[in-house]
Amino acid sequence: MKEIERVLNPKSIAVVGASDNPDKWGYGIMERITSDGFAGSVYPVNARSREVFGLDAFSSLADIPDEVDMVNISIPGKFVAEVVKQAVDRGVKSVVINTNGYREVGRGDLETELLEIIKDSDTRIIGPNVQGIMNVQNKLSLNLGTKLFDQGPVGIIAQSGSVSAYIGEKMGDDGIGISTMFNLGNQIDLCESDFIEYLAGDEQTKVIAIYLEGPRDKDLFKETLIRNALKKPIVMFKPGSTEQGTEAAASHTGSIAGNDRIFSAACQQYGVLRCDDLLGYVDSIKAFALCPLPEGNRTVVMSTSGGVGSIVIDEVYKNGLEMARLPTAARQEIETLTGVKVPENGLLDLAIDTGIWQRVIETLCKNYSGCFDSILIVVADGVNNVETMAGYAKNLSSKPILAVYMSYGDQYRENAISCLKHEGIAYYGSPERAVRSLKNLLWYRDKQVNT
Amino acid sequence: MSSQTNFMLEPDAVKLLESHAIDYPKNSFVTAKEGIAVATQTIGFPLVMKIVSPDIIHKSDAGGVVTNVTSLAEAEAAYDRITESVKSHDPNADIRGLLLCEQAEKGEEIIIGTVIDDVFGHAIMFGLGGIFVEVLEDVTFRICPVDKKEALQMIREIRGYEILKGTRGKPELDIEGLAELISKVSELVVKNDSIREIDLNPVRIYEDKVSVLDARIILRPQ
Repeated sequence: MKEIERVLNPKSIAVVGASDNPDKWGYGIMERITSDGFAGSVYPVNARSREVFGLDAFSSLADIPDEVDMVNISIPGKFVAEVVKQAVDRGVKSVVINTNGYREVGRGDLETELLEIIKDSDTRIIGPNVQGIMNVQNKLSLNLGTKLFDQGPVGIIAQSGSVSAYIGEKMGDDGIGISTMFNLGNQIDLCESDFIEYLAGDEQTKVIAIYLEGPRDKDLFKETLIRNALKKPIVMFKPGSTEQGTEAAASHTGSIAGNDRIFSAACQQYGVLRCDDLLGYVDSIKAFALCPLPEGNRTVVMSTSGGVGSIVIDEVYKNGLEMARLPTAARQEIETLTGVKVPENGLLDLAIDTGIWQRVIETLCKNYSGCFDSILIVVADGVNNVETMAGYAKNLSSKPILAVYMSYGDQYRENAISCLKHEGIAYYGSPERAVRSLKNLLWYRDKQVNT
Repeated sequence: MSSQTNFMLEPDAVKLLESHAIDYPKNSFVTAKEGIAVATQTIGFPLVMKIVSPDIIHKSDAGGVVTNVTSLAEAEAAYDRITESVKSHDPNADIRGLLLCEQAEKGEEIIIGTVIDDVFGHAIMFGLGGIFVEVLEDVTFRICPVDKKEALQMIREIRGYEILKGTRGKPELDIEGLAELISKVSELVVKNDSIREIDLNPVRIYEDKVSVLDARIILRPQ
């Protein structure tokens, strides 16, 4: 996917429709491209102004004397084809078209016209009717209304500018960040499968988050999922789960089927994690972004609270995981360290003494790491900086460590959250969310191993 | 459902299944009442008689099925009863004859079906029959083809799996055979692109075998 790599790394961009008028789309693009730290050259193109954003403006693309790698177009539809022609003539590598008024309003013919223009050329189109793209690695944002997101391991492909912005911002809030974001628009040329393929091979990207209403190129989409889903985790949100089977179906099977059910089946089969609620979606992206995959279903639960710990244990079994069975020697060591007997259910209720926490973590990680596959750390009392123990464990173990942080509204909360983020811990506000995320990691790992 | 639906006549569907090593009960297609005597000699009794007509897709609704036929005299009487009933249901029905099948023993019922999905192509469904499929929709889907391993996974993931595994003193049923059948059906549709949908309903599962008792194969519009 060298081609997408070139698209994402232009040395120079012409902004056709660049404007000093904040009501114009071209203003938003200029604002992003000049304030996020993009290091390449920027050429505003405006038919009437000689200067935009303090930069020399050109009256047409043809007038720019230097090489142009990328063109962003946000001018009215009737002028777009001509600009694309000029772009092809100049050998521009990519054209991002924000302008709408195409297939979405019944004007598929205008898309055919654009495709004719780029045929047999090296110019590729993203859009039209697209919100934009973002390559955080080189500080390139062509995404209206959103600042450059923090850099991190999440790649986003979305058919909705609002959803992509939500994921990007959420990943920023949680201290994770994103690598690249592709909004899809009408996808007349480059489409979701091209971007999946690219992100699957991109070293900066650890997990691919997709929001999709329906694929553009169906056969290619199927092949792309089969080829890539087990290489790198794909977390998919696709609305439509309330859709019913087709009433008019000729067979019994057809009346039950419905495309949405089959979409889920395909995801399940190929190893794509499909989520049907936004919270679970973001939770899962976070888990894949921050955790290694567990090698089995045995988990150790360490908690400041016996009560919340018990809730976690229920969730563990509900989700097909199990509590790690520690050998007698390990239990005895822990009992000696803590002065508390390890109960039958295996819950390590360590209260708030971080000294004890440290010794238990060391014992388990150094001497008994073969006995468990993941660690759940439950911080339900905000005192004594117990949350630092998640990072402590992370330094001693290569297994996934997820945290439940349930101390609300107290003076410790802000510090604790910032500590968990800083340590790169996948933390969640409830036992259900943490355990479900761990289950999703395990599901994916099993899929990789068994396929 | 319109009478224009393009579906395979059951004797043709049976041939197609058999050519993919999918067993059907002993059967014989008779085009006239006179053929019954010979047919019953190989099939034996009891047997099931089913209408064969391109105009009748829902055979039972048209009075086109008689079960538990135990003698030649009963079979001949059933022949008249079925053809009359179908004619009164649809006076213009093109009646090609009747399919006589060995009547299967009682057993747990299963549905296996396929459809074509817009994005992923042929998909296969499996579930337990009766209320499990009708009321609970306890079914599972995969994209075709599925190998036996994936088919076993499908079987394990329905809620009714315990019934197949044998519960409350009942023996385990032929889960391996069922997985093979699912896999064969999934391969059959991939190889026969003219097929739009299949219902194998019911399929019965026993301790030592799995039998397809009825097949409805709907073809793509020509």
